[in-house]
Amino acid sequence: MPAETSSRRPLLSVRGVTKRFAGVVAVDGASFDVAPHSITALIGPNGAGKSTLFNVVTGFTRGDAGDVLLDGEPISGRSPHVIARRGLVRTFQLTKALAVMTVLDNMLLAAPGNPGERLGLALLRPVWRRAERAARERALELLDVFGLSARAGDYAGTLSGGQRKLLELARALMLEPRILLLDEPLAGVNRTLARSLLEHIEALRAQRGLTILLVEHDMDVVMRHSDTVVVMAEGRVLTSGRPADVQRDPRVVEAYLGAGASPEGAR
Amino acid sequence: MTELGLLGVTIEFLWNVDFWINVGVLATTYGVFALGIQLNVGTTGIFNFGQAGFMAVGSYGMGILVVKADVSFWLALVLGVLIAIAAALLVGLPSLRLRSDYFAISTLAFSEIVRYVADNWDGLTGGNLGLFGYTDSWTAASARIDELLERIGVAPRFLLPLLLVNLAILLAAALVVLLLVRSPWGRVLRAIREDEDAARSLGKNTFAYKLQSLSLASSLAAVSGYMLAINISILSPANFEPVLTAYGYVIVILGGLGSYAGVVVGSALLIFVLEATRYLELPLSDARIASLRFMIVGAVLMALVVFRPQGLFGRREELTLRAR
Repeated sequence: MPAETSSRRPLLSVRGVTKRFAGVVAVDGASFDVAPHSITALIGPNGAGKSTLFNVVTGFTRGDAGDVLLDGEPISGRSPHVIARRGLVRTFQLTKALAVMTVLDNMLLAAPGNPGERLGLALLRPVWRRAERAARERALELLDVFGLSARAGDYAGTLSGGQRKLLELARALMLEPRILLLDEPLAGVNRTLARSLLEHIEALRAQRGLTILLVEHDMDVVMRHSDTVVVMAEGRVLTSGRPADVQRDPRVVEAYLGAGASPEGAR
Repeated sequence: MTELGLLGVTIEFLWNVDFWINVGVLATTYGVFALGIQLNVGTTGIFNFGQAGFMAVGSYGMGILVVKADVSFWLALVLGVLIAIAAALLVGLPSLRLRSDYFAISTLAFSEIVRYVADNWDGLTGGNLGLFGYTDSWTAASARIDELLERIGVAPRFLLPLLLVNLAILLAAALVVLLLVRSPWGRVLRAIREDEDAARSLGKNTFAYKLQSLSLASSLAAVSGYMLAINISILSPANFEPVLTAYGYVIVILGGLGSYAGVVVGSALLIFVLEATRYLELPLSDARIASLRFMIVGAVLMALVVFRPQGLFGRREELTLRAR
């Protein structure tokens, strides 16, 4: 059964990715896999190369070497919009709410395959009305899930920081991604909101079968909510495995100590 | 009593129909010109400083085809737009991938290159003596419009047919651009203005959209170039100085960033002020009065930015949202 084999094959596979900036090696042959339907956390001290690796995987930065495979298909070197359409969708550490657009417009923008987005068809409303209406229904449903329905008509710029995070997550879901890459989703978020975000993320996996890869500093969160932890240091993947095993790994402790903090206390 | 001696303005001209026709012809020309700038700057967030260059390319393209290649005027109008689109692609393909400030500089440089080429390639463009002789078909069409007007009881008047055609084109162009901006296509442009990386992460090929936005603006520049070319019957490089693009920006700021009604009203207002101040009567030399006109425009603009930064039709909360 194809479904069976694809569930055993990693959904995302990073193989020997290297990225140099003017002679400085930011990512140095990093390799790891993300299993389907898993929550995988990418952790490491500041400057470990996590964000750069994230940018290479999502196409925002061109890697110098290595391959990125999405469900077995190479995506390295492709443009960000192509990668997003293939089902690998990212969020940003600093939320990118489109401030002077309504919350609903933020959602509708992300709906894929709307023929009205083509210049040649944009004036022919009957051609795209149905797609627009379907997107609208889905958008309102998602906004409801994330508790943003009441704000649908407001400018996204009027949302609180936490609401923007939720909007970004909801908006990413409009693309019906296969794997969601979250760049420090909990950075600058209070405990209550962090809990709510984590519940949403877990629900996404449970209900939609989504796969999630997140970059995170908060070790507590990583240990409690992820199936697999990938530890990076100095541009390389130090180790990866179940959270409890990784936490006990002396190399991980050393990497964090080297950066001036212990894994337990690291934020 | 039509003399306000104290203010040094003779307001008699306000009762002169020809004054208003002239204002109308110029305002519609600048209006179409500025629609493109609004689409680029107000909606897409790309800073096109080369609109005067695209205008020159389109109108010279039309003029040269008619005068030198004996192409029909009406066909040349279509070809001129295509040439302007080709110019937009030529400028946009290498520079729209760059950071926005590099794009702005590239478009300005392109605009000046076009003007210098027009000035120096005498054989093709007539150089600074100008290019003329492309208006025959228009003159015939204009006479026919005059006939139609007479039949409904309107006396023929110089430039009235052009004004009517210009008005129809401006309103049609504004409507089309407005409908485009409100379509899903326009939503992608607005997303690019807000945050291009976010748009890319949501699967939008932002580079292609920016090229389309620039090409459309360039087409509008070409059409406004036709309006100018017919109005003054001669194309000369001096008509396409970068200050023309600056006027386009003044109109966009005056009307309100992102507002298309603002473009129509803003261009009418700017041209009215510019033309009306020609009638200033002060004990000064003509050259000084000419300078004073621009100081007045500058003062009006400064007052606007201080008291109504969103422009006439802009929304103030959009400014504050951006500042957050």
